[in-house]
Amino acid sequence: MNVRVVTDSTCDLPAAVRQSAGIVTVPLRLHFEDQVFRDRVDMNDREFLSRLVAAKVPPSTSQPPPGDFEAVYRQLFEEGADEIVSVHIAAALSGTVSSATIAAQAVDPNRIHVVDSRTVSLGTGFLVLEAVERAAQGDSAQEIVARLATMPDRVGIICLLDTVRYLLLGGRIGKVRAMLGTALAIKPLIGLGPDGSVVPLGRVRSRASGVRRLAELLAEHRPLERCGVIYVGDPEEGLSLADETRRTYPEMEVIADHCSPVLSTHTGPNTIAYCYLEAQP
Amino acid sequence: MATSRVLSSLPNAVSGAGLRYGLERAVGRLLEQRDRINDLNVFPVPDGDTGTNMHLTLEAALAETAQLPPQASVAAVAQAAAHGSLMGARGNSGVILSQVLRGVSAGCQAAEEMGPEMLAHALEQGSTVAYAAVKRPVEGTILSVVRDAAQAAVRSAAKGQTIAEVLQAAVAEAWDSVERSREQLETLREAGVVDAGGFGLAVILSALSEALGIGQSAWPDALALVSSPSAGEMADGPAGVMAFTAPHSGFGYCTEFSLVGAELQPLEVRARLGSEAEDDSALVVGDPGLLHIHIHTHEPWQVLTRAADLGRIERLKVEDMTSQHQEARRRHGRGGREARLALGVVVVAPGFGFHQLLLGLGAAAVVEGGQGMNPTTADLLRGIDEAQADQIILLPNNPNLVLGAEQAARVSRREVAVVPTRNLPQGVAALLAFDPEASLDVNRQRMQREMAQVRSIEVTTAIKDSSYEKGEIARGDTIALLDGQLVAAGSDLAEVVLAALDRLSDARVEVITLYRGARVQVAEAEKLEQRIRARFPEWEVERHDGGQDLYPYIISAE
Repeated sequence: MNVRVVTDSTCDLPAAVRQSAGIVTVPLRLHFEDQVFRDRVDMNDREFLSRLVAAKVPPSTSQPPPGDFEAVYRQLFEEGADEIVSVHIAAALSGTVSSATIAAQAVDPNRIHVVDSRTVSLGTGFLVLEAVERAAQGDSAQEIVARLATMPDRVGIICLLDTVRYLLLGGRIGKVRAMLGTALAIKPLIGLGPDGSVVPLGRVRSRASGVRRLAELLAEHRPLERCGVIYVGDPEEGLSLADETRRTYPEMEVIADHCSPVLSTHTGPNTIAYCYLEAQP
Repeated sequence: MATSRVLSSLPNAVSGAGLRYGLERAVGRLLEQRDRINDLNVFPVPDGDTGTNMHLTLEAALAETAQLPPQASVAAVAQAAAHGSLMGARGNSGVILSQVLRGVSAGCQAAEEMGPEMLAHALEQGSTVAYAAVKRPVEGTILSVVRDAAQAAVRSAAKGQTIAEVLQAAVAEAWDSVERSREQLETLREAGVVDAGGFGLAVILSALSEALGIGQSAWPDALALVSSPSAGEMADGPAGVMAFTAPHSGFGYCTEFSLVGAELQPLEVRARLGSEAEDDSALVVGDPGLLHIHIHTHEPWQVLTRAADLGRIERLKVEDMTSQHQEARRRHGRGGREARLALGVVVVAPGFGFHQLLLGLGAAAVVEGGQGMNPTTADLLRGIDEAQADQIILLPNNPNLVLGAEQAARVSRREVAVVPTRNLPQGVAALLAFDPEASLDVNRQRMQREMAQVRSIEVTTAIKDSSYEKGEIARGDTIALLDGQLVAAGSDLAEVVLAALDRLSDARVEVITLYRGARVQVAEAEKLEQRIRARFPEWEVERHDGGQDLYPYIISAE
């Protein structure tokens, strides 16, 4: 049984991991005024950041058109795939799942399984990795989907923002609204609620105490099965947090990578986040 | 309609027509009293419309009785009223009222007329059924009022008294019970009002007694006793104390609906609707086939999705209670009292600017105080009371106040923990680390750790000639203390501040916050801010108005 795995550009798995595992990535879209870019295809992370900071009109983002998924699905069947598992950013946050579902209906709904990861970034990435590993063991698409369904409740994100500005601009402020209206400039710590909305986890004034808090919040979710650090901007801080995390959790492989431009649009520069998968009880 | 007719034709019993007339009168009286009852509503705030809810619920009950023939029995009228109120129940108080009517209906089953003993029994049944609908009944609410009234009726009937006397006994006891509610619930006592739902129930009983031609003058007197508070009475707490007690997450949504066709018992439905349905204020009442549900939740869509799996949803009403709460605050002036917090932070701080800033950061109350004007233990206790929280974390923000704060903590009726902040920058850092969802101990540890991370510079004036490691200090010189140690002195305010900041140039600083004192001109503070930015370009600099006296600047470095 040859099961192939498709995801989208927001899964934040490093390119090398995706390539070696044969994961196909469909890009979301970035709109800077009237220009459209494919996420991580037409624009790299560095170009994106300089445009983001300079943009007069904040960029917007959108799901890939169903046609992109159709092309990918057909291509994979031509390459000999028996079934496809297509794992994507939370349907509560993006229309990507519906684009994929429309395409699956058009191509072969019986052999394409679209999965709403109910999370973002490496949270989605962890589901993708699980799918690839299960496929390599010879699991059927149905078995893989059943397995993935048990994961979103164990996945979490703990994110330190430099500012609430980009969340506001992107309209995904959620319950973090309660943190606004304070006279002092604060850096919010946020996570995702079970419904995919943004929830507040705390607030700090300096990055140093924010990063300290990130580690504390992560420790509350022990024992962990997987973990990674995702950052927007200068890699140094993200990589050093990843190193520190490896020292704290020596048994764990800690992924560290830059966040996809589409997600960065909503967090802004100088964001740093943990994504984790709690171990099964 | 002449009220005497009912009595003259049936001297010691109530007919179906009599009961219907009583309901009609009660609907009218509730409409009259609606706004007053709404204003009484301080607990729980979320249903800011108890008067409206009770009125509309009883109106739905009355409307249902209109379908009956004029000669319908008292049992038929009671049953129609119970059914109508269940379908039309609004709000917590409406749902409980519908349960009272359901019990009353059960208490006069198949009866053509209702005599004194049956009336007492029916009221007793009403109380029993209403109690059963609420998971954790609270004294001093509509529940205790209906119970007290029923017990008085039973005592009266046992003495062989007439229906007029039984009803009069119930009415008198109902008003006494309403008056007692003022003392039974702390929120009511502090707001100086009685329970809104209980008041509404007493109005209904009084109107029934009125309709039967008795006790007409009894209840306007009772009303005078329980006048609702005016804005002026509510507006101000003790001098120097401000309160702000809205929960961080807001109140969520008041979600009500009928569930038709679910062949399940209320308890099963409660269990299936999710954790919100297990809350104290959640109500799931009625019979299999027709249930009425009232739940406070942050996620009504979740509850509704689960409910839709069980039956058909009808009469759905979802209201944002946070906006109701704001409306209530507006009506009562600033001092509107709300549901208690589990855990709140009380902060001692000088100056309007600091007060606003700290309340904005989520302090439950601020007590005026600072160097040279330490609050007394009594002041601290007032602040602790104002915070309206079961557990309190107290931030003294002054080394000389730590003992006083601990004293207040020991004396207070509440559980109070002192996080010994020595200055305002530490207090702000501790407050930022506060998490209302976490326990007192977790917060205390986290706040203590965070307060230790911040550096503080306090700039003030020397009150006598002295000396320090770098030289002489003249009386009237500006001096700067870094974490309590004198590090700079001189006659030029800005130079002293910059010299103190130089001591931090090796430290890991990201953000400098400059709090301007009351006696410093804005332009002067702006100029200083610019000089700091120029000298330390790698630091973020923020400037706020602290409004403190004696200290031209208080500065935090994080």
